[in-house]
Amino acid sequence: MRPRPLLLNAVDRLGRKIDPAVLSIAHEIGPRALAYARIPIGDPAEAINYLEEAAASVSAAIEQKRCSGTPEVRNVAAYLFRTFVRMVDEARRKKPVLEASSRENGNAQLCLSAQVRVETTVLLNEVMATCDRGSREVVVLRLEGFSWAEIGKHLSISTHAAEARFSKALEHARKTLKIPRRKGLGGLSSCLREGAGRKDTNLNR
Amino acid sequence: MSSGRRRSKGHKPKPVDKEFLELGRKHFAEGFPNPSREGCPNDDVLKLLAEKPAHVADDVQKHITSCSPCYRTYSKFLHKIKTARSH
Repeated sequence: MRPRPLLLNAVDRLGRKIDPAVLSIAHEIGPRALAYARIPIGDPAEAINYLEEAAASVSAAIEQKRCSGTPEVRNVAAYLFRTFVRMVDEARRKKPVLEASSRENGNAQLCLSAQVRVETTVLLNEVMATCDRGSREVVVLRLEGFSWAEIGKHLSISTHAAEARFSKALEHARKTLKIPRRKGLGGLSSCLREGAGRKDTNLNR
Repeated sequence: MSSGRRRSKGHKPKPVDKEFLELGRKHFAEGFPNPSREGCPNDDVLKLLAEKPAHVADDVQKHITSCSPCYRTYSKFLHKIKTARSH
């Protein structure tokens, strides 16, 4: 079976141009380069990206040598392959560090969402334990997906009163428990903001 | 002059708020298991609470927030009413 030809771009992923002569050599050494990168990189598409980057770097180096009058590269294929090997090795060295970093980031987010969950439940328990019946009813109906207008109609109060009761109940619980407002986490703060009346909306700007 | 943004009266929760509301709903629907159904009112009372909240005693309203089976039953009645009203 004939090997499938490599499809290399004339620019690398950073937008740097690849000299046509270097590109042609990159096509020639492509299969060998991909075989080298199979274990450390794994993904052939990523390996091709590195090969394009190496080709762009080599193109720039050749151009620089030409301009400065320094001796030309004798064996471009070997030069390109060495550049590619250096890039792959560097990527392999960085890989565990990047993975550990993203894992830590993921764990931190997990802890934070767990904290928001706990805060939400504590807040709602406080509302149910300390607030008057009207406020409790509004909170329960809101949790059940009723709009402010539907809550108002159901409890025979105005839409604004429904919003204000919800807001006051949660604000009161939050102050009692000293739970800080959070931005973009579990909608806790934004929910308070949305539930707040005009006065609170201004305060939260 | 008001600087607050005006919203339509019947606006629905935003996606971020939905997360908070969903957490809260789940908390009351699952966080208070009461397998022996101690102190639970009849389903008729829960239905009445959903239909006419003013006609039911305060204790029943408080009970549903500390008993997940009753909360779920009450929630079922509430949604039936909501569906009926929307048609």
